[in-house]
Formats: sequence, structure tokens, C-alpha cells
Amino acid sequence: MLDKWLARLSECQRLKESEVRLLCQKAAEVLAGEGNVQHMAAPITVVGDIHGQFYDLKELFRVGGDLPEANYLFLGDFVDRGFYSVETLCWLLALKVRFPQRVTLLRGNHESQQISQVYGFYDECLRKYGSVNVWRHCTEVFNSMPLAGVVNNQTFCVHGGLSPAANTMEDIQNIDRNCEPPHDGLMNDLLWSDPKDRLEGFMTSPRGAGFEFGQDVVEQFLHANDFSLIARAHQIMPKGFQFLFDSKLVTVWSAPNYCYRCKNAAAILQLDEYGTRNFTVFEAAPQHTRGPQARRAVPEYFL
Amino acid sequence: MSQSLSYSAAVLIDQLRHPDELGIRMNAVKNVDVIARAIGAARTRDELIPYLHECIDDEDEVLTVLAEKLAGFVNHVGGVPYAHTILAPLESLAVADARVVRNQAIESITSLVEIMAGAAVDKYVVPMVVKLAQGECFNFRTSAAALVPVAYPKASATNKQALLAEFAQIGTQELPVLRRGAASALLPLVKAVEPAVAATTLVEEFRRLSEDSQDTVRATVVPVGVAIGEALAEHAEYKDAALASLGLFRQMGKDRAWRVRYHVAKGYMAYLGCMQTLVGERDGVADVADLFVSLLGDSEAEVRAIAATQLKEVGTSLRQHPLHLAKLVEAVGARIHDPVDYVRVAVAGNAIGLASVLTRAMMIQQLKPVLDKFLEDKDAQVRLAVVSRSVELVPLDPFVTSLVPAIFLLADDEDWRVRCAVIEVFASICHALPTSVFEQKLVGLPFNWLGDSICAIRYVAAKCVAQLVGHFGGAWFDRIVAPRLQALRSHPSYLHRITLLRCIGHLAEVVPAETEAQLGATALALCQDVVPNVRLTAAETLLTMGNHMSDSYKQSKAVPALQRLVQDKDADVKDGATKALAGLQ
Repeated sequence: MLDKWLARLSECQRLKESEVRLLCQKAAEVLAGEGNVQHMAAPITVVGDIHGQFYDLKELFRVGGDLPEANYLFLGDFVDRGFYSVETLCWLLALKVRFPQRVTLLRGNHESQQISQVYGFYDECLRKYGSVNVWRHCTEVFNSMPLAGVVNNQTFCVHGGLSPAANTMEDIQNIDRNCEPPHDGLMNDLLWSDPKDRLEGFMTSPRGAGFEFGQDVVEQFLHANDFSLIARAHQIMPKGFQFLFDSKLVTVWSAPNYCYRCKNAAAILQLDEYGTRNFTVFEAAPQHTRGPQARRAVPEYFL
Repeated sequence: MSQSLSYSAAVLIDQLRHPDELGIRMNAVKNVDVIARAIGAARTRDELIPYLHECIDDEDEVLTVLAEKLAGFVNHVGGVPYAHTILAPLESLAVADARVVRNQAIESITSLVEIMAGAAVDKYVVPMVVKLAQGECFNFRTSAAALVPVAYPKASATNKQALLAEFAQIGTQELPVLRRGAASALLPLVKAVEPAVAATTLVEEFRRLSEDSQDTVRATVVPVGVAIGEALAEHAEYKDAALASLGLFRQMGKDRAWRVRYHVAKGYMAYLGCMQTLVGERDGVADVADLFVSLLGDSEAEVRAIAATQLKEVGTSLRQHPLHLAKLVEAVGARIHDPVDYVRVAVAGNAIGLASVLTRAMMIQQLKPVLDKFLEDKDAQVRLAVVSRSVELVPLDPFVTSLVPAIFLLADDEDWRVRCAVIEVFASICHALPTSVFEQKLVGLPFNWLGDSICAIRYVAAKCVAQLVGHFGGAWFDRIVAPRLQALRSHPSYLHRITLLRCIGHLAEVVPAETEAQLGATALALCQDVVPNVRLTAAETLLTMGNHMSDSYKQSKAVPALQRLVQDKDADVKDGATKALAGLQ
């Protein structure tokens, strides 16, 4: 059954509401079995925000290789803004259930009831299914997603960034993550924070959630945990990725031509067993590979 | 109407006028046959048809379905003699606000007229068309224009005159949309009328519309020029009229509006064919070729591009006329500096189609320099257009000096889809090139692609290597391919080791049996790779190779290796190995 779903999902065909419910139950079971900090072995490919851009995710797999041949770590933000949040999320969840060892899905700030109600996922579910049940099933899976990952005990991976409330992995392990992200505190910071050049310590973020943190914070965190790199997403990068703080932190962004109009490139980060970091940059999938819906009018929340 | 009806028919009748739900009305209309069958022919004519006629105040979707359904109602109303009873609702639908409804209604009326007797057409259809042609709103008259060619063939001589008069009247109205309606109905009318009428009335009609003040009217009427020519081609007495019509078509190739010229360019091949039939092979092409040359050099890019798509066909028609062919090639040459990329792409790709038409000498002296220029174009798509069709130029020897550098440049293009497109044609090009050129210059490329950073490229390259081995044989594999694959076996990236396995999977189909063992050894070695993804792919590769392995090899090597993998600690490897094992045994 799962393989049949995967075949349909890879062609951007939606599952039925009852099938989504079943998929979400299974995915939640698998995800709940993982720790707040999920440990993974290299080689693995780290992927940033996707935001419902289904055909660009397909392009990403063409560029980086299909599952299960390649291993993937997604840094969250699967839904909202793009035209295909439902299809994208269901595809990734089905891949997670089918290949739990090959793919890891971390939670992003858009994997939340509150945010996805405002930025498109809720409306999309309502439009495509005629009810909000699918959205509700999906948001329950969000609550099971791990918050951070560590690759080969070297690279710390998280959607947003660091928090003044956490210095060690143990602090993160102690979070009770099975909930809607609270408005402040450690869990919220992991999903919302941003690094900031020429800043010392932490500062409240202009986003209204999380913090901005400087190089000293990053160095101290890496030293305390014996890591060498922080890989995070959360901010659009014109060239798909960008290093900061003497290459101790990298932002990876995997939604090319974000919102179908930003003209940015996207990137994936391939980490191998020997600690090598290899970036592959790619552009949005060309028009002829996209479904007919891509040409629909731009929804209001883009404006 | 509800007595003695089956229950379902009664429900449907109610649902036809369901006040709220579009879906319910839609369903009722779709099943309107059920009602007709239930109440019989007489009551269908007397009650159901009038009732349906009253329902024509619905959404467009429902009306479209209704119009379609009515066409199949002939048997329900009592057969062909009663077909006319269905016309009334269709007439109302033919003047609906939505064009899709009108078109469907006209289509349904057409199918009714096809089976109606001539007398019935005179009695019911012609008066309906005349009435519509006098209608107030534009949609009455455009529908009337569309129905003239439908009614004409079965109408009496007097009625034919009346229909033509109405048609002419619509085609001279002040409102442009009416003249456009006439322009689009003129094409089917040409096929409906007698040659004498086509040669006189319709040529005049075409002349008037081809000189219309509105671009859209002129653009719509363009194909009529050739249609008249074709209709009269077999009637020697109307040759002058046919030529006049074709002359008007030709004239439109110089129209001030590019949309008109676009349609001329699009219909050019038909025009050329018609001229050849009419005035003979020799003279038919004389100034006709000039028109094509001018379209290919048009000021509007869309016209140039659509003209380019016909290069091969035009060239084939002109193959007996070296002078005109030379002009054609010259016109192609003039496009190498075209400012619009997609025009150069269209011209470059289609120009290759001329190669099979030209004599070898003309090809080398005239076409080759042009293609060489395209191969140096700054736009990768232009170069790709030539390279991807270059096998049509066989033998390729003269093109080596331009083709090889172009392939090199494309092989390195930053757009991975361009690289991918080159790899896809690479093996067949190499097959067509002199072997020495391939060996000395191009042989390294597929192995570079095998190490590309884009996964899709690596996989196409894996297939390409296997195709090359298919062309060049086992000895070539041993000498060139084997050592390079050996190097990939210990590549630090697991993704590249997986590529190697993919390549082995493709090679298994083309290499001789003794090489099979060598490939198998690599796959077996990779079954012990440290990365689970590689072990998984190795298991799958052994399965792919299964059909080509000897039984003893299978049992002594492949099966034990897979049995070990079934015990693997990684769940996916276990799973893959179990499937492979089941497939092998």
C-alpha cells in the first residue's frame, strides 16, 4: 500500500482524506520513536526549507538522488506559501514511513497550527479537501517531529538556531516536544532564531519570536558540545547557501525561486563520512515539468 | 406528465428544475434519455422537448450537456422523420450567451441535418437560419453564419441563393465580430458549395474579407485562400478563379498585421502544394519560394519561427529546383544573427532537415557553413538544436571540426538539462563519427558525466556508457571502460559508487559473458560497502544482472552474497536483499 501511495505522491496526486489520516497515524508513530535530538551517520544530504514547492522538491531529488539511494535530513518548513503543501508533506511523510533509516524530518517554525493557519497550508487543505480534517491530521504529526539532529557527532542541525536556554544536547533532550510550539522558550527558539553577523550574545529577534545570536554564542556552543558546524535553514539565501562566522555556521535554503517569484537559487549540503561539505546548487524546475496548477493566480498571502 | 412513469424517470423530471443544486440538475440532464424512454416517442415530442426548452435558463455547464444530449434524441422522438422536432430547443441554445454552449448547439444541429431529408431541411432548417441571420444580437447572426454551410448542401436551389444572400449580408455588417463570424464560417462553406459558386461568389467573399479593416477578420480568413484553390484544382474551367484566390493568399503574406502573416506562414506548405498542382511542377514554384523566403525573414519573430518549422517540407517540395533551394539555404543563413533566441533555435534545428534534400555538394558548400555558425552560437539551446539532430547529417566527417568543439562546450554547460540533452544523443553521434575522432577527442566525456554533481546526469551517463559499449564491443570495454570503472569502485562518495552500480546494471545487457563475471565481481565487492545505501543498490544490481549470469555463477556467488545481506543490520538492505534473492531464485 505504501509503495502505491509513494508512486501516486511522486506524481503530485493527492491521497484521499482517509488515506491521509492513516498515513499521518503511521508517520506520527515513527516520528514519536525518535529523540528530540536525532543522531544520524554520514553520508547524508542536508536540505533546507521546501514550502510546498512540490515540483522543486522533485527537482531536488533529480539533483541529489532518489530515496533510498541517498540519505536525507530535512530541516523543516515543508508547508505554507507554495501551491502544493499537502502533496509535499504527504510525500515526505510517506517516504519517512517507508524509509525511516534513510530520511529524517525535523520540525520547522511552519510546522505549527498557528503559523500554517495564516500562511496557506490551512486554506489549501480546505480548498482541496473541502474540510479542515486533513490539516488537523497533519498538524498532529507536526507535534511528533524531532527538533534537532546531529550528524556524525560533528554537525548540529536545526531549523532556526540557538537559544539562551540551551547549552547542551541534554537541555534539548529534556523538552517535552509533543505540543504546539509555545510563544517563547527553548523549543520556540530552536525553530525561530537567526544568526547575526557582528553581534555578541543574544538579542531579541525582529521576527517577534526567537533570538538573534552572534559568533561568540556559536563558538561557545560548538566548543561545549564538541561539534564543528551548525547547519540550519529558515532564511532565504540568494545563492542557496551561505556560511557565516568563519564557516562555523551555514544556512541551507532549498526552495528555488521562492514563492515562485524570488529568483533565488536553492542548495543542498552533502556531508560525507570524512567531514567533507559539498554543496550542490540548483534552480527551479522548468515549466514543462510542472503541473497545470502552477499557473494559477497568486494567492493573497503573497501580497 | 407524471402518470405511469417509472419512479426514476419521475425523480429525474423533478430534478431537472432543482432550485439549489447545480450537481443535481446536471445529473438529471445527463440522464434525460431515461425520461424519454419511459414516456415514449409521442410524449417526448409533445411534452418533454417543450419542457426541456423551458429549462433553458441554467448554468452554461448544464446547457452544454443538454445541447449535446439533444443530438442523440432522434430515436427518442420517433426517428428521422421527426428529427426536426428537436430543433426548437437547439435554436435557443444556439443563441446562448456563452460561446461554448452555442458551439455545442451548432454541432448538434449539424449532426441532425446530416441525417434529415432535403425537404425537411428546406422546411425547417433554412427558415431557422434565415430567421437567425436577421436577429438583433450578434450571437444570432454568428450562429446563422456557422449554420449556412451546414444547411446549404441539402437545401433547394432557391434556398441556396437565400442562404448565400444571408451569408453575404452578415459578412458586410459594421460590427467586426459579425464579419469575423463570416470569416470563420467561410472555410467550411467552401467545402459545402458547388465549384461554380466557389469560383465566383466565394472568391469575391474571400477578397472582401481579406481586405477587411480588422486584423482579426483578415487573420481568420487566411486559410480560405488555399481551401478555394484546393476545391477548384480539379476543375480546369475555374483555374483562373483558383489562381486569383491563391494570389490573394499570397498577397496576405505581406499584410501589415503580423498575425495575418503568421497564418500565411502556417498554411504555406498547403499553398505550395496547391500551386504545384495548378500550374505544374516547374512554374508552380517560381515566385512561391520568394514568399517563403520573405516569411522566414519577417519582421516579427513569431512569423519567422513558425515558417522555420516547415523548412524540411518546403525543401522537399523544391528538391528539383536547385536555384530555389539555394535561395532557401541563403535565407536560413541570414538567420544566424537573428536577435531572437527562439527563432535561431527553430531555424537551426529545422535547417538540418534540409540536409537530406540537398545534393552532397550543396550541403557542404552552402548549408554546412550556416550550421557551423549555429554551432558557435552564444545561446546553448541553439547549439543544442543542431547537435541533438546532427545524426541526420550522416556521414558526419565534414562536421568534425565544428561539431566536436560544440559538444565539448555543451558538455560543460552550467544548465544541467543542457548537459543531459547532449548525453542522450552522445552515443548515437559517436557511432556516426569516424572512430578515430571518437577515440582521440570524445572518449573522456561520458566518464566526466559519470562523475557529475547532478544525480540525473550520472544516471543518464551510466546508460550512455552502456550504449557505447554496445556500439564498440567487448574489446573496447576491456581497454577503455573497465579501468575507469575500476577507479570508481573506491570513490570516496557513496553516490558515485552507486552510479557505478547503475552503470554495471546497464552494462550487463550488452557485454559478453566473460565480462559479466568481471562486472559481477565489482557488484559483489560493493555488497560489503560500509555505506548501507551502496549495499542496498548492490543487491538490486545483482538482481538486474541475474538474467545475464550463468547459473553456476548465480548459485556460487550471487546467492551467497545476497544471503549474507539478508542478515544485514540495516532494515532497507535486508529488505532489498530479500527481494533480490526471491527474484534470482
